Amino acid sequence: MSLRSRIESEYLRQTEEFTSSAIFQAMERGEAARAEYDLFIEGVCRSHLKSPHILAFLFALASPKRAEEIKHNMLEELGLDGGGVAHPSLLFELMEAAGFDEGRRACVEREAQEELRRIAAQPVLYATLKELGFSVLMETVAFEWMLSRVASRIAHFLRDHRQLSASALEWFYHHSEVDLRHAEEGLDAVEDYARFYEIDAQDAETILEVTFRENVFLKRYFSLNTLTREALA
Amino acid sequence: MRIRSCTIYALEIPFVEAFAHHAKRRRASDSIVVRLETSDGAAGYGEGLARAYVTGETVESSIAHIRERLWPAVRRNDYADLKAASDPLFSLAHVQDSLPFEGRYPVTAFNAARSAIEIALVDALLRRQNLSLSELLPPRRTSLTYSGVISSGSIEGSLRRAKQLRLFGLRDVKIKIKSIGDVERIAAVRELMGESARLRVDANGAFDTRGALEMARRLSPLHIDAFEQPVSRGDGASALREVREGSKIPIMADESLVTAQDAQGLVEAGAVDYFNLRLSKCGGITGTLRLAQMAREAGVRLQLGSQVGETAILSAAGRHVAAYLDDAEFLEGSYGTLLLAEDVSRDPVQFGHGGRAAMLRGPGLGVQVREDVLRKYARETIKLGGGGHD
Repeated sequence: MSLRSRIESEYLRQTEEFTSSAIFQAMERGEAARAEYDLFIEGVCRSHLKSPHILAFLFALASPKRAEEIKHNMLEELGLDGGGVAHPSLLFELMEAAGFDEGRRACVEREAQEELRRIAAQPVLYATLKELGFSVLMETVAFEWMLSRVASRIAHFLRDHRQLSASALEWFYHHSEVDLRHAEEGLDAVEDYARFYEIDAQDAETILEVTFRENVFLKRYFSLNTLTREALA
Repeated sequence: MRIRSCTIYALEIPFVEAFAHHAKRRRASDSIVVRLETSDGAAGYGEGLARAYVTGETVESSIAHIRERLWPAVRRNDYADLKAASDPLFSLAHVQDSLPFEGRYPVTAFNAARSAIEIALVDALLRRQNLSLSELLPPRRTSLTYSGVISSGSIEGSLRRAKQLRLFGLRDVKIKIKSIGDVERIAAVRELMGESARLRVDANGAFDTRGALEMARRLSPLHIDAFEQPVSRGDGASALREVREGSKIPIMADESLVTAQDAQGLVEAGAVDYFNLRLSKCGGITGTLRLAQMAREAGVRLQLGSQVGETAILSAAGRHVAAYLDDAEFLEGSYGTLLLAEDVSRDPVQFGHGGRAAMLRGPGLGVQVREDVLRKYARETIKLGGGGHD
């Protein structure tokens, strides 16, 4: 199996696990409590508010062939790609529309910042930045890949069961449209990255296993890990 | 200085993957964290992990011991400031002496409970003095290197883990074993890790004497650095000595070494080459230092081990002890979020590439504990003193 196919099959597995989880299913059927929808919105915002920072890190490590694309994505996230809106602003609008007061919005932003701080303070297990960058790139593209397939479903259930307007859900609509392209470009970028840094197949497999040992979507959006979920099932 | 309140958190932090050995398969940490607060508001944290197959304690009996015996003793005491001395056992003597030391059948010693209280006391007292534990335990080495661990399981699973450890640059690896059938698995790990890796095996008492001798014979060509707890504690020091006499691999005591009496018995019997000291098993910092002193006097070598599922609190205390005990040849622990879904400290204590870890210099243990994480994973919280229920 090629690296690209292997990564895509992992993305598919993670996405299916995410969408078939009890909490996702409950939200989609409209059976979740309002507080659960709100925790999910918090999780999405916490996970993506600092995306431009992560893209800046990936831009710094990008292969020459893909650097421009990653820079473009980063500028797009920042709303600097020519008339666009900064994605963090869309997330703040989502929180405001969901009725989060200023204190709660500030708290989510603090938590997102704290998560960045934790990443920086965490001793690095890999020998060099090239392995760390590979792991971060695979996880970042995993979100683009999942959102390109699931963001519309999420927007629909938040519209139908949490009564949020289309404009409040712009972040999800944007990702469902744009990220089909981003997801494909992302997979190209992962392949190029491995080639550029000459990451051998066995190490690539090991980094992939370490990166996806938990379901990254459930972990980031719901703070749930695989064993927690099994225990709750 | 009086201690005005004690909060006990019985945690259940999920693991990111299950961990198995001969005596137990775990999917979550069942750590007990204690928070002590001094009368002037300084807070300190300690930790212990009850293991019925080691000290005889359960989470319930440890908590009961803290409530009924250790907390009343702490509350009665007036603690002096901690002062650095040439011997840390002297610096910590009044903390140690304030805690009753006891076990009652089936508990060999309430050492996990003692560890949680003792470490919390030391952390609280040092924090209010704005002193680091490294002032009492001056580091005798500047660089620490931790081991990786491979739990018992399939060859395929062990190789997958070994590849991770190799990528993380870990060269000291302990492999959990259950039976003679594990020889093939260890050989596969050896082949993958190469000859320069230092491999140890830990049976957690899985063999009888004959089986242990056979295992040692078969492992001999694989250049194993130590064979930990080949027979069970119940078999006694004489069984360990018999294995040692018939084995080319150095033998290490773990479950057989809980109290000072155990250490004395092992030394007198000439039963082992190594002591595996673990803070929770040995009753905290002072208990561990005492056993290390006995080992040194008897020419027994040292490993500073850890508890599967320990949080950053116990890892931080272990880091200080490891830096002080520069003759501990193998270090374990500080796995952090390599094993736990979430750790309790603001800054991770986990080791980095090559198993290397930095010294901790902040006040007390040098970690900032996140109360929100303790609350999130506490399956039970008990407040004693300070307006709570006793």
